[in-house]
Amino acid sequence: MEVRLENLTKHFGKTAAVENFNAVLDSGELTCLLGPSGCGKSTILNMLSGIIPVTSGKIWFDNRDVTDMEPADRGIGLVFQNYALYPHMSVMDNIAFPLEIKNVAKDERREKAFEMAKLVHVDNFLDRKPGQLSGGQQQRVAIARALIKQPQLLLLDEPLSNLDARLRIEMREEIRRIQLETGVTSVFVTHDQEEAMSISDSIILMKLGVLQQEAQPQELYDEPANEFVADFLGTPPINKVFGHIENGGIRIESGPLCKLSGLENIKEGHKVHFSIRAESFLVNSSDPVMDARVIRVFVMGKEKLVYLKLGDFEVRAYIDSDQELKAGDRVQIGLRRKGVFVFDAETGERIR
Amino acid sequence: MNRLKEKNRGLYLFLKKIKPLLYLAPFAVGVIVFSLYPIVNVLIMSFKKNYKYLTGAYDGFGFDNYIYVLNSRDFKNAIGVTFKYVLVAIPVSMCLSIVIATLLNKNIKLRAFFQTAYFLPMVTSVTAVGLTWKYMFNYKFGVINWLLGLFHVEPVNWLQDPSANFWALAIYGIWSMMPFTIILLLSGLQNIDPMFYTAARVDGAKDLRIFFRITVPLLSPTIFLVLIINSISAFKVFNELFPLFSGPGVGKNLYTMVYYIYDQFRGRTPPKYGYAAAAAIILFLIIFVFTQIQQLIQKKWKY
Repeated sequence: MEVRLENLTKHFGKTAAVENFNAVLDSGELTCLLGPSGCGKSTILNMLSGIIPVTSGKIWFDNRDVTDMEPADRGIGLVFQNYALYPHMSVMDNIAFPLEIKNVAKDERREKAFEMAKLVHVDNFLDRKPGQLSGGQQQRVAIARALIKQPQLLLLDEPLSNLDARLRIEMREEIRRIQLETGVTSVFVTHDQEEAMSISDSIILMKLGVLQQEAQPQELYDEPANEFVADFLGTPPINKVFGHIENGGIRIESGPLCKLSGLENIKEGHKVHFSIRAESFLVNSSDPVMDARVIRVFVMGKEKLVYLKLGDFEVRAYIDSDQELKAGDRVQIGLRRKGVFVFDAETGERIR
Repeated sequence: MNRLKEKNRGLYLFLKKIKPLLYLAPFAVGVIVFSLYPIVNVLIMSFKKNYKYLTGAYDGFGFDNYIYVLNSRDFKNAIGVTFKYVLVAIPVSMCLSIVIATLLNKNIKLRAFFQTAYFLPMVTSVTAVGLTWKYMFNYKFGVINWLLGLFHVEPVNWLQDPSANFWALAIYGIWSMMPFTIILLLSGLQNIDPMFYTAARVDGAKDLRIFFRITVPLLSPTIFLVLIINSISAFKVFNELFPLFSGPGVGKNLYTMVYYIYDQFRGRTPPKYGYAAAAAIILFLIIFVFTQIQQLIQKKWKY
């Protein structure tokens, strides 16, 4: 089922949680709503589920306008951050509860619940109470309960944030597997960029209630629409140096002039933010664009991380582990084509 | 203390040992004098034959008091009345309280007003309130009979008719039991995470199903706690008799177990302290067994 959000807006009193939001979630895909806390991603999820009403705008499920529909009539499954499993019911009863509400016969709903339990691998714990399960198992049960009604849309609200690091990786792979197996259109809310990158077909990155960019994970990383997107993605965080345009290149503040193509039409002296991913530096390059001084070198096994001084700024760069460098060395720096961006210092718009 | 430590090690260690006991002492003394001593004394008294309180004289130990009490028609009658009261007042007050607490837990208008109104019986004097109820139950001028009259129901002689006065007692008892019950239930309700309701509602559950499948089971620990507290106080029904009937109803038809205990040393000359003590121990055992059964049921229910 395709989900369309048209000019969706939500105000809580005077504060705007979501502002004029437009997006299309493709059928059968897993879309991540990504952003820092307070960016409105959970608000959008709650509007999709119908838990909170919209201030203005429309929500379409295929050709159905569900904007004013009750949550129960929308055909959605919801997975909560804290699982919200009923502590007094067994795993079986928890999974079957949505069918119990629909007055489905007991045998039938037990059969369906068993099927769901098998899909999420909790069929060995059907008689246990949620309190006797680990966090990961509880999350599996919550997913089974959300899926048993065969919803058109599965909504997951930060489903992994209560798990420890190792389980988080395991469960995100599981969620992806279950989503692909059932083919259900899914929306996944998270503030963890790595989680979003690894699990989704498409990512919607938000900031302060406004959509920043909607794209496939790799595209989001390689072609950020603005400075916020570039800053938000990547580990370690993208390097940022400030400067201005000079002779078609960038003069880094109190630092070298970096020769760069594609800036010919920008007026001289324009202030810019120059962002370079750590893996996009070519240290001791045969085609250098500037020079820098090495401050520190960290050995990381398969590669080395060097800290370089560029004018007023320190940047991190990855180099091959067989490259011998030490603090104080002067090096010639080249840049790869990918992962080098120039943003307008004032608007954050992408220039190059 | 430090100088003592070096000079006299034995004394220092002794003081160190009894220091915590000194902190405990004020409360412990109170408990021993006012709770433990009377309880043990009642237990001993219940086995003393022909115990005379003033002289302290008695004719040895035995089960005579128990045999007398258990064979007494008044006491058997009292057990009957008391059980009837418990079995009527507890379920009714519990059901009404759950409903009211659930409603008070919602965001209704005038919520503060209703909360105050329901808790009012707790802060008013039992006797004053009891007398008010006495007027409300009045055969000719009472507001209850007037209300019944609006629905063309014959007036009931609440206080003088032996077939009706139990219900007057029950209504008054239920009414005075409810505020505390509602407070406890309300605090239990507020401990239920609202996300359970959201989850159920998203799946299409209606109010009634949410109430019976989610609210009540999650509230059950509080419900059992309240059941036990209320049963104990209902078994001891006694105070309620005075403002309404100035005694155990018509004749002795509302003769409760605590009234029997009271009557043994207040209503008889010479006072029968031994019988009173034996009856008190029997009442204790009944309450003990009753609450144990409730605990067993709770364990089966527990999630």
